[in-house]
Amino acid sequence: MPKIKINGRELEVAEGITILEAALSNGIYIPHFCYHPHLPISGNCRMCLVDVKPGPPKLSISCATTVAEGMEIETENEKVRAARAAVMEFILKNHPLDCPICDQAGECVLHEYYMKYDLKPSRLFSPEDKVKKQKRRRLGKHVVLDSERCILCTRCIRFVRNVSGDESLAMVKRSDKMEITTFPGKTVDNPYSLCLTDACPVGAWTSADFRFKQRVWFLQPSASICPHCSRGCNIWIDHRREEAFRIRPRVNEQVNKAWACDEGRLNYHLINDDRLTLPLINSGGGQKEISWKDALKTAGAMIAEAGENLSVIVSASLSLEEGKALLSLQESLGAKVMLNTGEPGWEDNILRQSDRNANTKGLTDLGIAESLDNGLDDSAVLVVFETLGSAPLPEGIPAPAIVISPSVTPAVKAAKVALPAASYAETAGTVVNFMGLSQSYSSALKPKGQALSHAEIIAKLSAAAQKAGE
Amino acid sequence: MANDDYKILSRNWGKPDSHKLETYLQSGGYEAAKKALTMEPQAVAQTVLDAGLRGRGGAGFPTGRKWLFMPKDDRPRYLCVNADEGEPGTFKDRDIMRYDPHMLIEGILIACWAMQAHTSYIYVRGEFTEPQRRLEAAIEEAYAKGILGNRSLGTDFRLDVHVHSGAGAYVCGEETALINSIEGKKGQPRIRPPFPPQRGVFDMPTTVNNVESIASTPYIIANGPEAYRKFGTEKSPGTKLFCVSGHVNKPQVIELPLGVPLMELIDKHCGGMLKGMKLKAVIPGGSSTPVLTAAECQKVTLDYEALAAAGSMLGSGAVIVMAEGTCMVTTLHVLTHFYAHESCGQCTPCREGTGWMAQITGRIVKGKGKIEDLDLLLSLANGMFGRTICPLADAAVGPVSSFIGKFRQEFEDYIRTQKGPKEKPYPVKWMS
Repeated sequence: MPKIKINGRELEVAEGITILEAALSNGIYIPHFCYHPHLPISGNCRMCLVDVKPGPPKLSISCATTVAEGMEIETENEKVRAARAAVMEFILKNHPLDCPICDQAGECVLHEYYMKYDLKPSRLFSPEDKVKKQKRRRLGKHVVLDSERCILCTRCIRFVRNVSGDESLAMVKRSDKMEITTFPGKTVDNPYSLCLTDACPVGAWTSADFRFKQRVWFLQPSASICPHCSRGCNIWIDHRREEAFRIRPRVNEQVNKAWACDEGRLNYHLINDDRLTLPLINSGGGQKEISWKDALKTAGAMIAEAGENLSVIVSASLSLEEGKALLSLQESLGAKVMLNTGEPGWEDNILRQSDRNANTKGLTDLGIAESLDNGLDDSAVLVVFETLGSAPLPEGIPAPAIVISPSVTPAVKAAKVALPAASYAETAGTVVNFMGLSQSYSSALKPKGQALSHAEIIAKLSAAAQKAGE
Repeated sequence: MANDDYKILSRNWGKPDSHKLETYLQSGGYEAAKKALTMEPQAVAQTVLDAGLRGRGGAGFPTGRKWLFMPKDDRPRYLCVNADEGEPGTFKDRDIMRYDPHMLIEGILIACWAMQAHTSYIYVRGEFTEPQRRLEAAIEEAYAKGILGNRSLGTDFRLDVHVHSGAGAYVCGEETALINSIEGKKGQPRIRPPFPPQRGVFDMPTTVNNVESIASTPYIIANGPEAYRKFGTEKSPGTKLFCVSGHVNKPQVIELPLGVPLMELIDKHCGGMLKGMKLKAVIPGGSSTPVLTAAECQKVTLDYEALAAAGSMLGSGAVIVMAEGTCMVTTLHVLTHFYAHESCGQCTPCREGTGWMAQITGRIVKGKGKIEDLDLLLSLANGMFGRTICPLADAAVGPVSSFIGKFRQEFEDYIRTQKGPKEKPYPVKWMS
């Protein structure tokens, strides 16, 4: 374990790491653009230059210099400060004055570094001297590239080559005309293209979905776990005034590193759109809104009447807590509880799992192991618990009696009684991913309309059924 | 020197069919390689080190020491010969390749034996079609004669030599950019460490040497280090090809012992200043080396130490002579425009800095400069120097700092008086 000094402070650090890693892990910040903890080292932005003794008279890039016993590193002396200010000036020389219309404002590393390490006025003769490049090119289904804003840190190129595993991006041309682009006529269309918008430290790569929708300083980030496959990527739900605006990945070294898939991100729309907010009943003349009291009375009566024919079908994304509540319902009502895991989807060796549910392992381990494959006949009285984006009921299933769901789904439309449930974004819970890792989430938003959490609904149904049985 | 026994590299130039194998063999060609193949590889490298041969591409690093850096593991090793010759003002490797390609091939054989490398790539800049053709023909002759191939010169040593063409990038003269280019990638330098002897071409141990350095080795092996040290100075032994261009009566490539006074090169060997004009400035080693004023030229000798002491560098030995009447402002813009065009674009200071400097000098030349632009240029130069992945930025800074530093009054006068580009920025029209 080599002993080094950074700014006079003695540190014992791991063998073989770089000066930058040693500094960051000890709370000493060295500014950088091209370094990313989950991408290979590039060493081209030159922002992380530090003074190393013993060492060459030139400054060294800390991202690519391995620590050695006895090294003394200065990160804040005159030479280093001058170098940083010079790099900032060089980047800003050609950087367009787009801040008023650039999505990155508020989370832009260039802004932060200017305030911390530069604060000098521009020495450019005229804004006309800025090199003009292609702007707002839709280079994929979800991503837009603005080459003038690009600082050519090459994080996006290293991302597609090392994480998403394709060669869709490359640098073309030389000197200050250099641009990052795709091959002519091609686009970046891998399932992780929106990770480019996270990897990009400035507003060069932006999300076509999020562009111009909201200033990020108005957004409240809430930590959560994506429920749409069994990996359970850690996410941030960014929201304002009870509306979700985007989902970003949250770093978790074991589960999803710094990445999330495009599908999972864009499923934030499910939080906002087509939500079931009031109980519905269909007594013959189409669905009508009713009160919770009346809905529960009717539902309770249906459950009590069903007796042995009662079958409960649940989404495999329900949390462990909701699963436990269901098991007690199973006990008290003697119903068969079945997991609807839906059709397996595609998977890869990056993030996606073919199991499109958040908690299959958890619920199975709890004891809800029976799968929906066993045929149900017309006598079955179905109570269906859905979660946000969960698998639809398969063909051939009789029309459900009671559906508890966060969204207006086909099952909800076919149900006799539909009860509005909160989604994962509006409750707290724990899910177990395919690795067996247990992860918890808490609510980001308030339940919509008169929706209640699954746990509450289970309790109320149980009580209503008991009452009706008396 | 009274006789010209110092003509080591250029001894065959001027002979008819000097590029053919027959001509080379007649004058003792490949005897040095035969001798080297009987020596221990390490001893060959030591001999070259003892002779004091220094890299002739510009850096001046001892060639023998570079060869001794190669690791002793069993990964395949490579020699890359740098024939990119991109430094403005340089045209000496061209003459070696087109007039005496076999001297280069013999040097490659010696170098590869010393390093136990079985493959060599000669990276020739794309514009050099004649040298490429001559090299390829010479290599074919060498294979036919058994000098190259599975049993080089009748021994068990296998050596394959390939000519690899560049495609128009000065930056590919930088050794790691050259390596990337050979691999088929964009010609961009790599961060170091790791260095080429550890991870070079195809991630294998690689040494990159300049053409002139390699071509100097047959003489050293044939005649021994002391014979080489007879020429030149103690710290800069041997001979050098100087490419003299600009306002002299006889611009040429000429081989002379290191340490020759600059004015002797101009007056005695190159016919003196063109049309008797007065000397104004000389760039001694290629455009990246700081310019010398006429006063500084009087005493300076052409070797590594003397030029370093004078605040410049021997560089590639490209001597660009400028007479009175040369506009230093226009000349600086020609150079900044070159570096801006050639920057690979990877790292921030060089990519934006070279472009910015060319914009500023362009404005000055057009008569729209401001006095503050001069200090701005020097400040940008400071912001670039020593901060980049490769020394291209340092090379771009060389002319900017030295021209403005030594000819400041001329720049200020230009800014104050010129309303547009100078009508006659040079005392003679090109080719007149």
